[in-house]
Amino acid sequence: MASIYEKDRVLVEKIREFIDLTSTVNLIFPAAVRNYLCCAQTRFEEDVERIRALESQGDILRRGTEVYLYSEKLIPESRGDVLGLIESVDEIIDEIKKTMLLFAVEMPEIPAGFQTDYIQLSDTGAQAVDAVMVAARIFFQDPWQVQHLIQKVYALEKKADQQAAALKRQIFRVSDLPLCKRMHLRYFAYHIDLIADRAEDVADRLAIAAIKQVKNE
Amino acid sequence: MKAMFARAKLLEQKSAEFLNVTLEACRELLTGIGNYLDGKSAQFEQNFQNISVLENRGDALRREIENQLYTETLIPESRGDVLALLENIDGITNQAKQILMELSVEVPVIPEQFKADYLILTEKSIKAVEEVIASTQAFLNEPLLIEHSLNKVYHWEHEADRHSEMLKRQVFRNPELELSHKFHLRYFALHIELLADKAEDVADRLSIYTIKRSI
Repeated sequence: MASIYEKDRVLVEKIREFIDLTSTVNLIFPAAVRNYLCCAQTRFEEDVERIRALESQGDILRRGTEVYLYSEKLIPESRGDVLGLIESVDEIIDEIKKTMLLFAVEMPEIPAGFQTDYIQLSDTGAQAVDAVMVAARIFFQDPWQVQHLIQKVYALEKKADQQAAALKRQIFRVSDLPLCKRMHLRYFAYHIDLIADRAEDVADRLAIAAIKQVKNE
Repeated sequence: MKAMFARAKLLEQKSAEFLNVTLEACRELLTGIGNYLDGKSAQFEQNFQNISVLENRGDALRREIENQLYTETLIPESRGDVLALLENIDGITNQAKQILMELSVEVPVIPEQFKADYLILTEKSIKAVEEVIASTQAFLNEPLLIEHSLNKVYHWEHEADRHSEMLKRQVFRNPELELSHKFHLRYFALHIELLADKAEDVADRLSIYTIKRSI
């Protein structure tokens, strides 16, 4: 089933570019976590710099798309949805950048026993973002498929929540670390987990926007 | 002003159930915190399980209501407002679950002299939630009653703020506690107080929507 956006090639191209950029940030993110944990400091700092540059580029793209949306008279009842969608995708990029900067600034000491858990949590967050990017791409081509695709995002977000809870439980129950260190470790688990939450927010927006578009067809 | 879902009985039922889920989650939170403070671990973990089930139910109901609002083109002029309202109320249930989860995971050591204050803070925050749920019910069914309950939300949010501040002051002025322990105790006071802040956010939205509906 064709999408109403297909007629506006410029808009579709701008959004495709924004989704590509988000996917790239999302590819760097789990690699950066691995580099941090493996003490590959230089590579980690390069990852942070790349994410930082992409985030700025994303802001420019987002603003350009928003201006286009409102100045080129795109179907008025749909532009609010597109705007909300772009802004919620931008939140994913922001959250990834913020989390990586937190690692760079605060340099938490992560005990060897927890490193795999942090890697797995990051991987699940990245998978949730990847799944919602697939749904966002499809939304602009075939909104009928969105409902099916976002179920994967919800499942991955739940998985990330469970992994984060299990990790925090281990930190506070099993380890013999001082309380200040436990809180520091919890803080990073919390922020990585937030990335999957942001993916879920995008999925929620996509669900509504897709229903509206399908109804309008 | 007429009821919001006057022509959609099923939606009205689902909304009522959704609001009840939030109230039940708050009751579970209060009992859970009481059990935690009394050292009743098994009962506390049961409260945590119960609130997790309620939170999932709330999520499912919210999505069902949102889908129905848009697929059946119900109340097109206010569905964006109702959508935002539901998402904000869902945020209250999530916060209630989050508090019990954090207690379950982090097992903070709460000194005897602060236990009563944590319980009072929880009660005050929950009162703010109960009033905002009453306001939402009024908004959906009896718009004329809304102002009365909204005023109570602001009162209880203010009370929770004051109690939380007093508790945190006592914690940080206690010379026997380590700084990390003080941070940990402050973190839990802050999260319980956030419940009332979230109720206030919903109240702010309701105030605006009520004005919009009256015009």
